[in-house]
Amino acid sequence: MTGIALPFLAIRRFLAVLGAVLALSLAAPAGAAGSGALGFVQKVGDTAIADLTAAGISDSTRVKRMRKLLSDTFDAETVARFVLGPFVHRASAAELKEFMRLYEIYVAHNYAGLFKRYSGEKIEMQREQALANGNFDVFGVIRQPSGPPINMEMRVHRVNSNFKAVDLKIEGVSMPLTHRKQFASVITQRGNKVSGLIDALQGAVTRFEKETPSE
Amino acid sequence: MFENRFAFLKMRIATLLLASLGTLAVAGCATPPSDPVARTEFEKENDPLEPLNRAIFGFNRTMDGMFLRPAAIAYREVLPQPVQKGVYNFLGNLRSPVVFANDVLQGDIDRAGNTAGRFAINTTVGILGVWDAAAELFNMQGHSEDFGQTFGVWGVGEGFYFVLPFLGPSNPRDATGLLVEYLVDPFNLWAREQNVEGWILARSLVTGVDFRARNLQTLDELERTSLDYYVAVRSLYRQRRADEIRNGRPTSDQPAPGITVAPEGQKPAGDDRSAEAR
Repeated sequence: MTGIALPFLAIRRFLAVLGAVLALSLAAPAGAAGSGALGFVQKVGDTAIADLTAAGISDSTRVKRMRKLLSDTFDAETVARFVLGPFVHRASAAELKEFMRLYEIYVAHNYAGLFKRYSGEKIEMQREQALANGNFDVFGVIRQPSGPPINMEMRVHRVNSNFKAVDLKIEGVSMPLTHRKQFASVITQRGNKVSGLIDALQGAVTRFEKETPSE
Repeated sequence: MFENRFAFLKMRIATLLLASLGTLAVAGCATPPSDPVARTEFEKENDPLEPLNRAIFGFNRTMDGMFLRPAAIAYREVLPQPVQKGVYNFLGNLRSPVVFANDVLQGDIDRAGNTAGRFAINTTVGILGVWDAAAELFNMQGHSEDFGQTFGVWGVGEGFYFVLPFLGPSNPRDATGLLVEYLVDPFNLWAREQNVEGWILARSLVTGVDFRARNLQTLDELERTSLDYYVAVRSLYRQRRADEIRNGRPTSDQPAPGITVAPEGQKPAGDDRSAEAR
Protein backbone atom coordinates (compact mmCIF):
# COMPACT_ATOMS: atom_id res chain seq x y z
CA MET A 1 0.00 0.00 0.00
CA THR A 2 2.68 2.48 1.07
CA GLY A 3 4.78 1.24 -1.80
CA ILE A 4 2.19 2.58 -4.20
CA ALA A 5 1.18 5.61 -2.19
CA LEU A 6 4.65 7.03 -1.65
CA PRO A 7 5.63 7.57 -5.28
CA PHE A 8 2.17 8.90 -5.89
CA LEU A 9 2.55 11.42 -3.08
CA ALA A 10 6.00 12.37 -4.32
CA ILE A 11 4.65 13.00 -7.80
CA ARG A 12 1.80 15.04 -6.39
CA ARG A 13 4.22 17.14 -4.35
CA PHE A 14 6.47 17.62 -7.36
CA LEU A 15 3.48 18.71 -9.44
CA ALA A 16 2.36 21.11 -6.72
CA VAL A 17 5.83 22.70 -6.56
CA LEU A 18 6.03 22.86 -10.33
CA GLY A 19 2.61 24.50 -10.39
CA ALA A 20 3.66 27.09 -7.84
CA VAL A 21 6.89 27.90 -9.73
CA LEU A 22 4.99 28.24 -13.00
CA ALA A 23 2.38 30.45 -11.40
CA LEU A 24 5.09 32.68 -9.93
CA SER A 25 7.04 32.92 -13.17
CA LEU A 26 3.88 33.80 -15.04
CA ALA A 27 2.80 36.32 -12.44
CA ALA A 28 6.17 38.03 -12.05
CA PRO A 29 6.58 39.58 -15.50
CA ALA A 30 2.95 40.66 -15.50
CA GLY A 31 3.46 42.33 -12.15
CA ALA A 32 6.70 43.97 -13.22
CA ALA A 33 5.24 45.30 -16.44
CA GLY A 34 1.86 46.07 -14.82
CA SER A 35 0.30 49.46 -15.23
CA GLY A 36 -0.10 49.94 -11.50
CA ALA A 37 -3.88 49.67 -11.79
CA LEU A 38 -3.91 46.55 -9.64
CA GLY A 39 -1.86 48.25 -6.95
CA PHE A 40 -4.19 51.24 -7.03
CA VAL A 41 -7.30 49.12 -6.48
CA GLN A 42 -5.63 47.01 -3.80
CA LYS A 43 -4.71 50.21 -1.97
CA VAL A 44 -8.31 51.44 -2.21
CA GLY A 45 -9.48 48.17 -0.68
CA ASP A 46 -6.93 48.28 2.12
CA THR A 47 -7.74 51.92 2.89
CA ALA A 48 -11.46 51.16 2.95
CA ILE A 49 -11.01 48.36 5.47
CA ALA A 50 -8.57 50.32 7.63
CA ASP A 51 -10.54 53.58 7.68
CA LEU A 52 -14.14 52.42 7.63
CA THR A 53 -13.99 49.49 9.99
CA ALA A 54 -11.89 51.16 12.71
CA ALA A 55 -13.22 50.26 16.13
CA GLY A 56 -15.39 52.80 17.89
CA ILE A 57 -16.03 55.22 15.02
CA SER A 58 -19.50 56.68 14.80
CA ASP A 59 -21.82 56.18 11.83
CA SER A 60 -21.43 59.80 10.75
CA THR A 61 -17.62 59.56 10.86
CA ARG A 62 -17.84 56.42 8.74
CA VAL A 63 -19.97 58.25 6.18
CA LYS A 64 -17.53 61.20 6.16
CA ARG A 65 -14.59 58.87 5.57
CA MET A 66 -16.54 57.05 2.88
CA ARG A 67 -17.15 60.36 1.10
CA LYS A 68 -13.43 61.13 1.16
CA LEU A 69 -12.59 57.66 -0.13
CA LEU A 70 -15.16 58.02 -2.92
CA SER A 71 -13.86 61.40 -4.04
CA ASP A 72 -10.25 60.16 -3.90
CA THR A 73 -11.07 56.96 -5.79
CA PHE A 74 -13.74 57.66 -8.39
CA ASP A 75 -13.79 59.90 -11.42
CA ALA A 76 -16.89 61.67 -10.15
CA GLU A 77 -17.82 63.45 -13.36
CA THR A 78 -17.48 60.42 -15.62
CA VAL A 79 -19.56 58.33 -13.22
CA ALA A 80 -22.16 61.11 -12.86
CA ARG A 81 -22.49 61.40 -16.63
CA PHE A 82 -22.85 57.64 -16.96
CA VAL A 83 -25.52 57.29 -14.29
CA LEU A 84 -27.54 60.15 -15.79
CA GLY A 85 -27.45 58.33 -19.12
CA PRO A 86 -29.06 60.14 -22.04
CA PHE A 87 -30.70 62.60 -19.65
CA VAL A 88 -27.31 64.16 -18.96
CA HIS A 89 -27.86 66.41 -21.97
CA ARG A 90 -30.90 67.88 -20.24
CA ALA A 91 -28.98 68.88 -17.13
CA SER A 92 -27.77 72.45 -16.84
CA ALA A 93 -24.23 72.97 -15.53
CA ALA A 94 -25.70 73.93 -12.14
CA GLU A 95 -27.90 70.84 -12.09
CA LEU A 96 -25.00 68.57 -12.96
CA LYS A 97 -22.94 70.10 -10.15
CA GLU A 98 -25.77 69.71 -7.64
CA PHE A 99 -26.42 66.17 -8.83
CA MET A 100 -22.74 65.26 -8.36
CA ARG A 101 -22.74 66.68 -4.83
CA LEU A 102 -25.87 64.77 -3.81
CA TYR A 103 -24.86 61.57 -5.58
CA GLU A 104 -21.60 61.37 -3.64
CA ILE A 105 -23.45 61.69 -0.32
CA TYR A 106 -26.07 59.20 -1.49
CA VAL A 107 -23.46 56.58 -2.45
CA ALA A 108 -21.49 57.19 0.76
CA HIS A 109 -24.59 56.42 2.84
CA ASN A 110 -25.38 53.41 0.65
CA TYR A 111 -22.01 51.80 1.20
CA ALA A 112 -20.98 52.98 4.66
CA GLY A 113 -23.52 50.53 6.08
CA LEU A 114 -21.73 47.59 4.47
CA PHE A 115 -18.53 48.40 6.34
CA LYS A 116 -20.41 48.77 9.60
CA ARG A 117 -21.22 45.07 9.40
CA TYR A 118 -17.58 44.21 8.70
CA SER A 119 -16.59 40.86 10.13
CA GLY A 120 -13.01 40.23 9.04
CA GLU A 121 -13.34 40.18 5.25
CA LYS A 122 -10.17 40.73 3.20
CA ILE A 123 -9.93 42.31 -0.21
CA GLU A 124 -7.49 40.55 -2.49
CA MET A 125 -7.02 41.95 -5.98
CA GLN A 126 -5.55 39.35 -8.30
CA ARG A 127 -5.03 40.53 -11.84
CA GLU A 128 -5.52 43.38 -14.22
CA GLN A 129 -6.44 43.53 -17.85
CA ALA A 130 -5.81 46.43 -20.19
CA LEU A 131 -8.78 47.42 -22.35
CA ALA A 132 -8.72 49.02 -25.75
CA ASN A 133 -9.80 52.49 -24.74
CA GLY A 134 -7.20 53.11 -22.04
CA ASN A 135 -9.23 51.52 -19.28
CA PHE A 136 -8.06 48.72 -17.04
CA ASP A 137 -10.20 46.10 -15.39
CA VAL A 138 -8.85 44.87 -12.09
CA PHE A 139 -10.21 41.58 -10.79
CA GLY A 140 -10.13 40.17 -7.30
CA VAL A 141 -12.13 38.66 -4.49
CA ILE A 142 -13.46 39.60 -1.13
CA ARG A 143 -12.50 36.75 1.19
CA GLN A 144 -15.03 36.06 3.92
CA PRO A 145 -14.15 34.37 7.20
CA SER A 146 -16.92 31.89 6.44
CA GLY A 147 -18.60 31.43 3.10
CA PRO A 148 -17.30 31.46 -0.46
CA PRO A 149 -15.18 34.30 -1.84
CA ILE A 150 -17.11 37.14 -3.48
CA ASN A 151 -15.95 38.25 -6.94
CA MET A 152 -15.10 41.89 -7.31
CA GLU A 153 -14.09 43.94 -10.33
CA MET A 154 -13.12 47.58 -10.63
CA ARG A 155 -12.62 49.48 -13.86
CA VAL A 156 -10.11 52.31 -13.71
CA HIS A 157 -8.57 54.76 -16.14
CA ARG A 158 -5.61 57.11 -15.97
CA VAL A 159 -6.08 60.69 -14.91
CA ASN A 160 -2.73 62.51 -15.22
CA SER A 161 -0.26 60.22 -13.48
CA ASN A 162 -2.83 58.57 -11.25
CA PHE A 163 -5.81 56.27 -11.63
CA LYS A 164 -9.49 56.93 -11.07
CA ALA A 165 -12.24 54.33 -10.89
CA VAL A 166 -15.25 54.45 -13.20
CA ASP A 167 -17.08 51.23 -12.34
CA LEU A 168 -17.34 48.78 -9.47
CA LYS A 169 -18.89 45.34 -9.83
CA ILE A 170 -19.62 42.86 -7.08
CA GLU A 171 -20.57 39.37 -8.30
CA GLY A 172 -21.17 40.83 -11.73
CA VAL A 173 -23.49 43.58 -10.49
CA SER A 174 -22.35 47.08 -11.38
CA MET A 175 -23.13 49.78 -8.83
CA PRO A 176 -23.30 52.64 -11.37
CA LEU A 177 -25.40 50.61 -13.81
CA THR A 178 -27.96 49.77 -11.11
CA HIS A 179 -28.13 53.47 -10.20
CA ARG A 180 -28.45 54.50 -13.82
CA LYS A 181 -31.49 52.27 -14.30
CA GLN A 182 -33.19 53.65 -11.21
CA PHE A 183 -32.38 57.25 -12.04
CA ALA A 184 -33.80 56.93 -15.57
CA SER A 185 -37.02 55.60 -14.04
CA VAL A 186 -37.21 58.43 -11.47
CA ILE A 187 -36.56 61.07 -14.15
CA THR A 188 -39.27 59.57 -16.38
CA GLN A 189 -41.74 59.52 -13.51
CA ARG A 190 -40.94 63.14 -12.65
CA GLY A 191 -41.64 64.94 -15.88
CA ASN A 192 -38.49 63.78 -17.73
CA LYS A 193 -36.49 66.40 -15.86
CA VAL A 194 -33.15 66.00 -14.08
CA SER A 195 -34.48 68.40 -11.43
CA GLY A 196 -37.00 65.67 -10.50
CA LEU A 197 -34.15 63.28 -9.81
CA ILE A 198 -32.29 65.92 -7.81
CA ASP A 199 -35.40 66.37 -5.62
CA ALA A 200 -35.67 62.60 -5.09
CA LEU A 201 -31.97 62.34 -4.23
CA GLN A 202 -32.26 65.28 -1.86
CA GLY A 203 -35.16 63.51 -0.15
CA ALA A 204 -33.15 60.31 0.24
CA VAL A 205 -30.08 62.16 1.51
CA THR A 206 -32.17 64.07 4.07
CA ARG A 207 -33.65 60.77 5.25
CA PHE A 208 -30.23 59.13 5.49
CA GLU A 209 -28.84 62.08 7.42
CA LYS A 210 -31.73 61.91 9.87
CA GLU A 211 -30.93 58.23 10.42
CA THR A 212 -27.24 59.06 10.89
CA PRO A 213 -27.14 62.12 13.17
CA SER A 214 -23.76 63.87 13.35
CA GLU A 215 -22.11 64.05 16.75
CA MET B 1 -64.99 8.85 -11.94
CA PHE B 2 -63.98 10.96 -9.00
CA GLU B 3 -60.49 11.31 -10.43
CA ASN B 4 -61.92 12.42 -13.76
CA ARG B 5 -64.03 15.09 -12.10
CA PHE B 6 -61.01 16.22 -10.13
CA ALA B 7 -58.93 16.48 -13.30
CA PHE B 8 -61.74 18.38 -15.01
CA LEU B 9 -61.91 20.80 -12.07
CA LYS B 10 -58.16 21.31 -12.19
CA MET B 11 -58.39 22.06 -15.91
CA ARG B 12 -61.23 24.53 -15.34
CA ILE B 13 -59.23 26.33 -12.67
CA ALA B 14 -56.15 26.42 -14.90
CA THR B 15 -58.20 27.82 -17.80
CA LEU B 16 -59.76 30.46 -15.56
CA LEU B 17 -56.36 31.41 -14.18
CA LEU B 18 -54.86 31.68 -17.65
CA ALA B 19 -57.80 33.74 -18.88
CA SER B 20 -57.57 36.16 -15.95
CA LEU B 21 -53.80 36.40 -16.34
CA GLY B 22 -54.32 37.20 -20.01
CA THR B 23 -56.81 39.94 -19.15
CA LEU B 24 -54.46 41.33 -16.53
CA ALA B 25 -51.58 41.27 -18.99
CA VAL B 26 -53.55 43.27 -21.52
CA ALA B 27 -54.65 45.72 -18.84
CA GLY B 28 -51.14 45.86 -17.41
CA CYS B 29 -49.39 46.79 -20.63
CA ALA B 30 -47.20 49.82 -20.35
CA THR B 31 -47.89 52.86 -22.49
CA PRO B 32 -44.67 54.01 -24.14
CA PRO B 33 -43.72 57.52 -23.02
CA SER B 34 -44.05 60.30 -25.56
CA ASP B 35 -40.76 61.96 -24.59
CA PRO B 36 -38.21 60.68 -27.17
CA VAL B 37 -35.34 60.05 -24.70
CA ALA B 38 -37.67 58.42 -22.17
CA ARG B 39 -39.13 56.34 -24.98
CA THR B 40 -35.71 55.04 -26.04
CA GLU B 41 -34.96 54.10 -22.44
CA PHE B 42 -38.37 52.43 -22.13
CA GLU B 43 -37.77 50.35 -25.24
CA LYS B 44 -34.31 49.32 -24.03
CA GLU B 45 -35.73 48.04 -20.76
CA ASN B 46 -37.90 45.41 -22.45
CA ASP B 47 -40.46 45.43 -19.66
CA PRO B 48 -43.73 45.79 -21.61
CA LEU B 49 -45.86 44.64 -18.66
CA GLU B 50 -44.32 47.09 -16.21
CA PRO B 51 -47.59 48.29 -14.60
CA LEU B 52 -48.74 44.69 -14.05
CA ASN B 53 -45.26 43.70 -12.91
CA ARG B 54 -45.17 46.55 -10.41
CA ALA B 55 -48.54 45.40 -9.06
CA ILE B 56 -47.31 41.80 -8.67
CA PHE B 57 -44.06 43.09 -7.19
CA GLY B 58 -46.13 45.06 -4.66
CA PHE B 59 -48.18 41.96 -3.90
CA ASN B 60 -45.01 39.94 -3.38
CA ARG B 61 -43.64 42.62 -1.06
CA THR B 62 -46.82 42.53 0.98
CA MET B 63 -46.67 38.75 1.21
CA ASP B 64 -43.00 39.00 2.10
CA GLY B 65 -43.72 41.53 4.83
CA MET B 66 -46.57 39.46 6.23
CA PHE B 67 -45.14 35.96 6.04
CA LEU B 68 -41.73 35.36 4.52
CA ARG B 69 -39.68 38.05 6.26
CA PRO B 70 -41.09 37.32 9.75
CA ALA B 71 -40.54 33.60 9.14
CA ALA B 72 -36.97 34.30 8.02
CA ILE B 73 -36.31 36.42 11.12
CA ALA B 74 -37.75 33.74 13.38
CA TYR B 75 -35.74 31.08 11.55
CA ARG B 76 -32.55 33.05 12.04
CA GLU B 77 -33.24 33.93 15.66
CA VAL B 78 -34.54 30.57 16.84
CA LEU B 79 -32.43 27.97 15.06
CA PRO B 80 -28.75 27.69 16.02
CA GLN B 81 -26.28 28.61 13.27
CA PRO B 82 -25.09 25.00 12.70
CA VAL B 83 -28.68 23.85 12.17
CA GLN B 84 -29.26 26.63 9.63
CA LYS B 85 -26.08 25.61 7.85
CA GLY B 86 -27.25 21.99 7.89
CA VAL B 87 -30.57 22.98 6.30
CA TYR B 88 -28.75 25.01 3.64
CA ASN B 89 -26.41 22.09 2.90
CA PHE B 90 -29.26 19.60 2.80
CA LEU B 91 -31.29 21.70 0.35
CA GLY B 92 -28.22 22.23 -1.83
CA ASN B 93 -27.46 18.52 -1.90
CA LEU B 94 -31.06 17.73 -2.79
CA ARG B 95 -30.71 19.94 -5.88
CA SER B 96 -27.45 18.26 -6.97
CA PRO B 97 -29.03 16.00 -9.62
CA VAL B 98 -30.52 19.10 -11.32
CA VAL B 99 -27.19 20.93 -11.10
CA PHE B 100 -25.42 17.86 -12.50
CA ALA B 101 -27.87 17.59 -15.42
CA ASN B 102 -27.29 21.25 -16.26
CA ASP B 103 -23.51 20.94 -15.97
CA VAL B 104 -23.71 18.12 -18.52
CA LEU B 105 -26.14 19.98 -20.79
CA GLN B 106 -23.75 22.94 -20.76
CA GLY B 107 -20.91 20.61 -21.74
CA ASP B 108 -19.00 21.43 -18.57
CA ILE B 109 -17.65 17.99 -17.74
CA ASP B 110 -15.29 19.22 -15.00
CA ARG B 111 -18.09 20.86 -13.09
CA ALA B 112 -20.37 17.87 -13.71
CA GLY B 113 -17.71 15.63 -12.17
CA ASN B 114 -17.41 17.96 -9.22
CA THR B 115 -21.18 17.97 -8.68
CA ALA B 116 -21.43 14.17 -8.94
CA GLY B 117 -18.50 13.72 -6.56
CA ARG B 118 -19.94 16.16 -4.07
CA PHE B 119 -23.33 14.44 -4.22
CA ALA B 120 -21.79 11.02 -3.59
CA ILE B 121 -19.65 12.24 -0.68
CA ASN B 122 -22.23 14.49 0.94
CA THR B 123 -25.10 12.03 0.70
CA THR B 124 -23.03 9.36 2.43
CA VAL B 125 -20.26 10.85 4.58
CA GLY B 126 -22.21 14.08 4.90
CA ILE B 127 -25.28 12.29 6.30
CA LEU B 128 -27.86 12.93 3.55
CA GLY B 129 -26.21 16.22 2.68
CA VAL B 130 -26.53 17.93 6.05
CA TRP B 131 -22.76 18.26 6.33
CA ASP B 132 -20.77 19.61 3.38
CA ALA B 133 -18.04 16.98 3.78
CA ALA B 134 -16.86 17.39 0.17
CA ALA B 135 -15.96 21.04 0.73
CA GLU B 136 -14.51 20.59 4.19
CA LEU B 137 -12.54 17.39 3.66
CA PHE B 138 -11.60 17.63 0.00
CA ASN B 139 -12.01 21.34 -0.77
CA MET B 140 -14.56 20.49 -3.47
CA GLN B 141 -16.61 23.69 -3.52
CA GLY B 142 -20.18 23.57 -4.75
CA HIS B 143 -21.85 25.70 -7.40
CA SER B 144 -25.35 26.17 -8.67
CA GLU B 145 -26.85 25.77 -12.13
CA ASP B 146 -30.39 25.72 -13.44
CA PHE B 147 -32.17 25.23 -16.76
CA GLY B 148 -32.56 28.97 -17.32
CA GLN B 149 -28.78 29.28 -17.21
CA THR B 150 -28.38 26.30 -19.55
CA PHE B 151 -30.75 27.91 -22.08
CA GLY B 152 -28.66 31.06 -21.70
CA VAL B 153 -25.45 29.13 -22.41
CA TRP B 154 -27.14 27.68 -25.49
CA GLY B 155 -27.72 31.21 -26.70
CA VAL B 156 -31.37 31.73 -25.74
CA GLY B 157 -31.94 35.39 -24.89
CA GLU B 158 -33.67 36.41 -21.70
CA GLY B 159 -36.64 38.01 -23.47
CA PHE B 160 -38.91 40.46 -21.72
CA TYR B 161 -38.92 40.89 -17.98
CA PHE B 162 -41.80 39.83 -15.78
CA VAL B 163 -42.52 39.25 -12.12
CA LEU B 164 -44.11 35.99 -11.03
CA PRO B 165 -46.47 35.94 -8.05
CA PHE B 166 -44.60 34.54 -5.02
CA LEU B 167 -41.55 33.56 -7.11
CA GLY B 168 -40.36 37.04 -8.06
CA PRO B 169 -38.30 38.34 -11.00
CA SER B 170 -38.19 36.23 -14.15
CA ASN B 171 -38.41 36.17 -17.93
CA PRO B 172 -39.67 33.62 -20.48
CA ARG B 173 -36.31 31.81 -20.56
CA ASP B 174 -35.90 31.50 -16.80
CA ALA B 175 -39.58 30.74 -16.15
CA THR B 176 -39.41 27.90 -18.70
CA GLY B 177 -36.31 26.71 -16.87
CA LEU B 178 -38.22 26.73 -13.59
CA LEU B 179 -41.03 24.71 -15.12
CA VAL B 180 -38.62 22.16 -16.59
CA GLU B 181 -36.90 21.84 -13.21
CA TYR B 182 -40.24 21.34 -11.49
CA LEU B 183 -41.09 18.55 -13.92
CA VAL B 184 -37.79 16.67 -13.98
CA ASP B 185 -36.32 17.16 -10.51
CA PRO B 186 -35.88 13.59 -9.17
CA PHE B 187 -37.18 14.60 -5.74
CA ASN B 188 -40.37 15.94 -7.31
CA LEU B 189 -40.71 12.83 -9.47
CA TRP B 190 -40.36 10.68 -6.38
CA ALA B 191 -42.88 12.77 -4.42
CA ARG B 192 -45.42 12.54 -7.22
CA GLU B 193 -44.83 8.80 -7.54
CA GLN B 194 -45.38 8.33 -3.80
CA ASN B 195 -48.39 10.64 -3.76
CA VAL B 196 -46.73 12.96 -1.25
CA GLU B 197 -46.82 16.12 -3.36
CA GLY B 198 -47.01 18.16 -0.17
CA TRP B 199 -43.30 17.54 0.23
CA ILE B 200 -42.62 19.53 -2.94
CA LEU B 201 -44.39 22.54 -1.46
CA ALA B 202 -42.70 22.04 1.90
CA ARG B 203 -39.30 21.95 0.23
CA SER B 204 -40.09 25.16 -1.70
CA LEU B 205 -41.20 26.90 1.47
CA VAL B 206 -38.08 25.92 3.41
CA THR B 207 -35.91 26.95 0.44
CA GLY B 208 -37.68 30.33 0.38
CA VAL B 209 -37.26 30.91 4.12
CA ASP B 210 -33.60 29.86 4.00
CA PHE B 211 -32.90 32.19 1.05
CA ARG B 212 -34.70 35.10 2.71
CA ALA B 213 -32.91 34.50 6.02
CA ARG B 214 -29.51 34.54 4.32
CA ASN B 215 -30.36 37.77 2.50
CA LEU B 216 -32.23 39.63 5.24
CA GLN B 217 -29.78 42.50 5.64
CA THR B 218 -28.87 42.73 1.96
CA LEU B 219 -32.50 43.01 0.82
CA ASP B 220 -33.48 45.36 3.66
CA GLU B 221 -30.51 47.58 2.85
CA LEU B 222 -31.32 47.55 -0.87
CA GLU B 223 -34.91 48.52 -0.17
CA ARG B 224 -33.87 51.27 2.24
CA THR B 225 -31.38 52.86 -0.14
CA SER B 226 -33.21 52.45 -3.47
CA LEU B 227 -34.87 55.37 -5.19
CA ASP B 228 -36.96 52.89 -7.18
CA TYR B 229 -36.87 49.46 -5.54
CA TYR B 230 -38.70 47.77 -8.40
CA VAL B 231 -36.13 48.96 -10.95
CA ALA B 232 -33.23 48.17 -8.60
CA VAL B 233 -34.42 44.55 -8.26
CA ARG B 234 -35.03 44.27 -12.02
CA SER B 235 -31.53 45.51 -12.80
CA LEU B 236 -29.91 43.32 -10.14
CA TYR B 237 -31.78 40.27 -11.35
CA ARG B 238 -30.67 40.78 -14.95
CA GLN B 239 -27.06 41.49 -14.06
CA ARG B 240 -26.84 38.53 -11.65
CA ARG B 241 -28.38 36.13 -14.16
CA ALA B 242 -25.99 37.29 -16.88
CA ASP B 243 -23.09 36.77 -14.46
CA GLU B 244 -24.35 33.32 -13.47
CA ILE B 245 -24.65 32.29 -17.10
CA ARG B 246 -21.01 33.30 -17.59
CA ASN B 247 -20.17 31.38 -14.37
CA GLY B 248 -18.68 34.58 -13.00
CA ARG B 249 -16.21 34.98 -15.84
CA PRO B 250 -15.44 38.63 -16.58
CA THR B 251 -16.84 40.39 -19.58
CA SER B 252 -13.67 42.25 -20.55
CA ASP B 253 -12.90 39.95 -23.42
CA GLN B 254 -16.18 41.03 -24.95
CA PRO B 255 -17.08 44.50 -26.20
CA ALA B 256 -16.58 46.82 -23.24
CA PRO B 257 -19.74 47.08 -21.18
CA GLY B 258 -20.96 49.87 -19.00
CA ILE B 259 -18.80 52.90 -18.83
CA THR B 260 -16.56 53.70 -21.71
CA VAL B 261 -14.15 56.55 -21.41
CA ALA B 262 -13.75 58.45 -24.64
CA PRO B 263 -10.81 60.62 -25.63
CA GLU B 264 -10.75 64.02 -23.99
CA GLY B 265 -13.51 66.36 -24.98
CA GLN B 266 -16.03 63.62 -25.66
CA LYS B 267 -18.26 62.42 -22.89
CA PRO B 268 -20.23 59.39 -23.99
CA ALA B 269 -22.91 58.02 -21.76
CA GLY B 270 -22.10 54.44 -22.71
CA ASP B 271 -24.47 51.74 -23.76
CA ASP B 272 -25.74 49.99 -20.69
CA ARG B 273 -28.30 47.67 -22.24
CA SER B 274 -25.74 45.20 -23.55
CA ALA B 275 -23.93 45.25 -20.22
CA GLU B 276 -27.03 44.33 -18.27
CA ALA B 277 -28.37 41.60 -20.46
CA ARG B 278 -25.13 39.93 -21.41
